[in-house]
Amino acid sequence: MSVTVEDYERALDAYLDEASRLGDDLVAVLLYGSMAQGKLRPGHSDIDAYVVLRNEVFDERERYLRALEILVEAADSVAQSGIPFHPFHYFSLDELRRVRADFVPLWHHEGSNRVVFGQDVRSHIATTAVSRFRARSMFFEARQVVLPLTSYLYKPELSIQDCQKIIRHLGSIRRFIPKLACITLDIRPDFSVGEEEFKKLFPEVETSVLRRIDALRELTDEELKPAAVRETLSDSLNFLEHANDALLSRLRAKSEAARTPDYVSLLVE
Amino acid sequence: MENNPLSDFTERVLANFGGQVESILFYPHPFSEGGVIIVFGDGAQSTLELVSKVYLSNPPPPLALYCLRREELFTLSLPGLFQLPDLVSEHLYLTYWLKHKGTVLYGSDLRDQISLPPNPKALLDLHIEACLHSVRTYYILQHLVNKEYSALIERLLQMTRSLMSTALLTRGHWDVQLETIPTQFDEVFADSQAQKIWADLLDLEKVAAEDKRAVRQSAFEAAWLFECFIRRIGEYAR
Repeated sequence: MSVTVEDYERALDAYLDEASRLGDDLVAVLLYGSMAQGKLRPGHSDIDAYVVLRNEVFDERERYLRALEILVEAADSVAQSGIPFHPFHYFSLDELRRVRADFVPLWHHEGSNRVVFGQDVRSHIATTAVSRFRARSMFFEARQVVLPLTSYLYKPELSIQDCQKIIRHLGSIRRFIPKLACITLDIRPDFSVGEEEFKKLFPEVETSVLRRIDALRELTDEELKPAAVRETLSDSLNFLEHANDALLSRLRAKSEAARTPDYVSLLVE
Repeated sequence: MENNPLSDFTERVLANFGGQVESILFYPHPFSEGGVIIVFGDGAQSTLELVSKVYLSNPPPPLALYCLRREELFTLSLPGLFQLPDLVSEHLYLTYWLKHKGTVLYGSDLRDQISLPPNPKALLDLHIEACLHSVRTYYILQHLVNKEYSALIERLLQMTRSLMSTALLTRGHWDVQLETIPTQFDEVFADSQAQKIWADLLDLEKVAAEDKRAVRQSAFEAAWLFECFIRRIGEYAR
């Protein structure tokens, strides 16, 4: 049975019904991601949310255990709904001041998020200097994770499983690399606008392969052609390398201007 | 070169690249089999081709592999991704073990050009941030929803141990071993509150998995103790 947008709405309502048993300990439920943006792909998208709890929940054992019990039951109600599921992130109100820097832009763009329960505490969401440092370094580390895919470029035969694995990674390149490159230079675009910002910042880097990744991800297993997957992989890795070279050239220029050979110090505030 | 698989790999890489390789370094690692760092000259143009050829040279499987131009050596000193499943970034220890215990398999010894991470307290802070973001969601809630209670307790013990090891870095203790981390932590911090949490967590591990009700209760208790530990250890990131 295929899932519909209405199934997602019902699953979220069921979650909120359960979570509301937290009473005053539940400050807010904040939705982000494809559902908040109205870009759900039923059957593929999951639901992304922050659950914000009162600070005191984390101070008192009994209160914490009761809250956790309710959060588990609420998460279970979504898990049972049949839509792709992962539990929601939960934080105390104070912890909203230190969320991961790469997540903060999600909350500062109109249309990227919405309050589905409780108070509008989105203005509390902030991050730390340390987290910004980590975010600025993520491009280079993500590149190290992706580079082993080069081994597929010369593999004699790509199986369907290989193709599926490659496409999953290509999805990550498509989703994260433009965004992370922008973050390295301290431009923090939303997930949905990362590519436009990227083009402005790195006009020398060809991005047309990102469209082809989108097209590839729409194909069913029966429609997949290993040769096309391999070609898109090759072009995607070249895109990654061109982005890396472009970033290095920006860091080189910064390093010369700051008269320091230490690139790490350029990424720390 | 003491290790044959490493030596064979080094020879294969050199046979493929001739003069383009400046250096090949090996680093051991306390939580993994370590890794090899292949450094190309800054003039190397198509890194993609170089990297793919390195992977075609059959690197020994358990080793991490970094293929970098000299200008990219700084990336080794970045904090790392704190990825699941372990949440311990390979990078936390990489530069320490490379500089102090690493070996040069070929070419120039570039270890002096690689810096240690700029601020170990920042690494602990990032590790805690990763716990708030990932452990709560993908371990605590996910295991509880899946009724994987013993697995959660085991995972939280592992997460607590790794937080201890990152805390040890803030005091300059990089030479750790997985088995003795709690002892080293006790010796360095003498923190009775943290010790008590660790001891209570260890006790929960002893609850028999067959006793469904008790093990469920223990898993919830473990989640609470882990929260307490995060708060406690956060003091050392300041």
